[in-house]
Amino acid sequence: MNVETLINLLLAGITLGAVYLLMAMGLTLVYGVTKVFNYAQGSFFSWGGYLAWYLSVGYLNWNYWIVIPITVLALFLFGMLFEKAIVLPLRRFPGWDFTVIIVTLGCALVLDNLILVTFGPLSKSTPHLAEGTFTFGEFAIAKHDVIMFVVAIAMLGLLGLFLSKTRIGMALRAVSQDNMGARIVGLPVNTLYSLSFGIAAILSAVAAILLAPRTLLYPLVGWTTILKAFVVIVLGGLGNIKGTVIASFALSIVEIFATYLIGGIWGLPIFLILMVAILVFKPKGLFGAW
Amino acid sequence: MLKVNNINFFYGEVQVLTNVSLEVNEGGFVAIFGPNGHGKSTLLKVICGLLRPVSGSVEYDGKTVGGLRTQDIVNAGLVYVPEDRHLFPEMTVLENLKMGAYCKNARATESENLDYVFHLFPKLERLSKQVASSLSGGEGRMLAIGRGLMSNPRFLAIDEPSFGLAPNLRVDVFKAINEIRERGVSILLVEQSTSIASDYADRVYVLEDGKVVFEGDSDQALSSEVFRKVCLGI
Amino acid sequence: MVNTLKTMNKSLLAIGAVVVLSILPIFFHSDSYVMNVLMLCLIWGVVAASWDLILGYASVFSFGHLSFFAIGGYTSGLLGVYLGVPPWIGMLIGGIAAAFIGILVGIPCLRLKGMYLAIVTFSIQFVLPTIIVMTGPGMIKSFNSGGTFGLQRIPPPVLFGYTFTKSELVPWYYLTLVLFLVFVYAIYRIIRSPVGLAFIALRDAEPLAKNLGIDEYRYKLLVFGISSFIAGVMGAYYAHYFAMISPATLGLEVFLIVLLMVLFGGLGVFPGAAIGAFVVTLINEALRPLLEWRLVILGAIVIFVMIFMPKGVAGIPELLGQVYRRFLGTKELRKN
Repeated sequence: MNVETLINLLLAGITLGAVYLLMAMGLTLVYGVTKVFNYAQGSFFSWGGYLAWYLSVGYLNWNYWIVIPITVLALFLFGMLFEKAIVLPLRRFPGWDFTVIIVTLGCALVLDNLILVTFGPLSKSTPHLAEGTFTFGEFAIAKHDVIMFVVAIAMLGLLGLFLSKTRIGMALRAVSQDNMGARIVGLPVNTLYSLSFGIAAILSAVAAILLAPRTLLYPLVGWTTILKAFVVIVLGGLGNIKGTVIASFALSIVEIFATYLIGGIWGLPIFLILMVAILVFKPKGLFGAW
Repeated sequence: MLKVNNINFFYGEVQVLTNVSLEVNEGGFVAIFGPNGHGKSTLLKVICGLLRPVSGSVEYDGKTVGGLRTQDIVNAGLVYVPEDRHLFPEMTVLENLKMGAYCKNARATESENLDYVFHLFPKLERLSKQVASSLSGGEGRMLAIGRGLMSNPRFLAIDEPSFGLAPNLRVDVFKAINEIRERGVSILLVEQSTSIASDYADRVYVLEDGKVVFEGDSDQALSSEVFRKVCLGI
Repeated sequence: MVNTLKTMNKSLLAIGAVVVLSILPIFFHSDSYVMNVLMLCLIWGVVAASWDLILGYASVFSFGHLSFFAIGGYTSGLLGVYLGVPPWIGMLIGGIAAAFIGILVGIPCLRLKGMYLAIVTFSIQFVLPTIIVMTGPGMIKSFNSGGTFGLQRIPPPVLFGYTFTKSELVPWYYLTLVLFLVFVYAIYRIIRSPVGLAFIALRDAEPLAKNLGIDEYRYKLLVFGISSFIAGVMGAYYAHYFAMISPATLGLEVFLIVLLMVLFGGLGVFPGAAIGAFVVTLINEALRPLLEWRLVILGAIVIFVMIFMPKGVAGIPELLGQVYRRFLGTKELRKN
């Protein structure tokens, strides 16, 4: 393997890692703040992608640069509404943590099949964020991939800054660290619950817009990505930010190299095999966070 | 300022509070004594809107606390400092305090409140960059009270402020609470040990088995048989 | 006295049910669609009951139960197609394979907390199809799992020289019924055995049970293995009946439908899951004319059942009681 390919693979691995991390961070944020694991988040991803497609090349043919903020905003609002309408009312029932799991799965089924009903089963393609490739001598990299990398890292950075420096971000962290403490201090806990879902939806929408041009859109597209995020979380530890970050990049780099060396659609299975293997030796995840 | 009327509260089938009524005047200092596990903490939580009673009502500043959201209760100046502090473990002392000033009424006065908290508890200022989970018992207690102060309370409900603290720390904590009271904040506290608290309180209630068995001025308390039996074991 | 009456009533109901199930073919033997649906009810009835054993009784948040179904199916199917292994042996091996993998996975995973166990088992089940697809046509030399299209031409069982065939569904029906009765009864015995009682103790009075020395982990592992075995055998049977098996059994649709069966009858309420299988299968078939909307409605049903009937059908009396009490309660407060 020459240096070029190596760098290419590494970059691809890091880029993918950043995108998976967007999904994983969304799940972790929601879980930390609301103690709910949103099994329907993959469907948020799918809807983000399909909405962007519909508004642009699919139907209305709007300029993609307008479509992107509209999609992100729409998903944000949808995420918040989802929490308010479906998750919040369930809290008053005993045993709601189990109920919520099944309800979010049911919602995933409904959302996925609404996509099928509305858009049909055939794959759709969304526009690349930039056409063409950059070339440095013999070294070529797709422009879209560069943008994917930059945007994903930028979103993660923004999220980090938001959580650590802004008042609302701090409030979100406070709720995830001590829910009762947050109530005592007068934080608007219910609003923060919705907000966390909204943010997770934004992250999913961005991930979809970045990935969809590569993977194409099909009704179950969200599941492929969210399952990888699940594995990242299992290994990194739910709520353990550092662990999740490391797990995400490590797994994606392994995935890229394995796909290159062994070929085929080994991506997801590799995640699975690694997950079970690691769990056998370290039942508490990579970092003992469980 | 605070009127509690005939509160009844159940944990499942067990009745924890029976027909409890109490009153705190504006600027007053009221202590609730009684053995552990007899409902004192539960009563405080009901008063501060964290638990809903089966019947009865709590009136604060003329308004019913019953259906309000916790953020509105805190915004109205009714602040609760729990026994198990509920600090934000991964945040620094300073961040914890800042979170106390989140609600609308407290935001504008954040820096003044911060200065006041550091004046009351100078140790906290030295610890301001330290993470809350690393604080000792006494420091955590101070931080909890300090954080409560950041919310601009007009009424402070404290659960066991001196529990588990060394005697000299206990004195400091009560001195601080008294100073807060002298600024115009009404105080309601729950304590297991009567020694220091009864010196500072105007009125005293004794809760046994979820029922009020004594209420009166604190000087009356020591001469009351009930008080002595329940709280001092005499 | 009351208890004996209750047990007598239950036994009568059980016998009645068996009788009804046994005579159904008399009415429907000419309608292959109905016969097929009935058999699906029976097959899923066992699978749902075995899932209820681990989810409802042992309170293990295993979301990977159907993986064992598929493992059993593929094991027996592959053995039948490539090695000519007779289906009966295939089913046994399928069950054992499923149990083996179940225990293998269970050893690390059963120590995880509920939420995490759910995520892990869920991920395993939903990633399996990709592995199956990857070992599909052309991926590996001389080995073909059929990929997305599924493993085809799985041989049917042969009993005393009689080869089961799709043109005669009645024998299939009785075979399925026998399997159903055997396994459901086995599950019933397990629930009533010391193992089952241990779980009820753990569920209702955990600290006391643990004090008495009940080792939760060992029992969970045991039940996990047993329920996986049952699922595996049924998966194998399913494969031989349909003469094929595909990764579709591992998708969200089947997952939620079978889960709905378990929930419908009430978690940890025997034989709720088996009854739930009948109800849900019939609902599912009734919705088929709606094409793509079927799944949307099924998802909505799942949500509805979870919110309003968390204890399944068994919980309806209690639910009504709560509603009644609410009205009564407000009246009392107003009096004061």
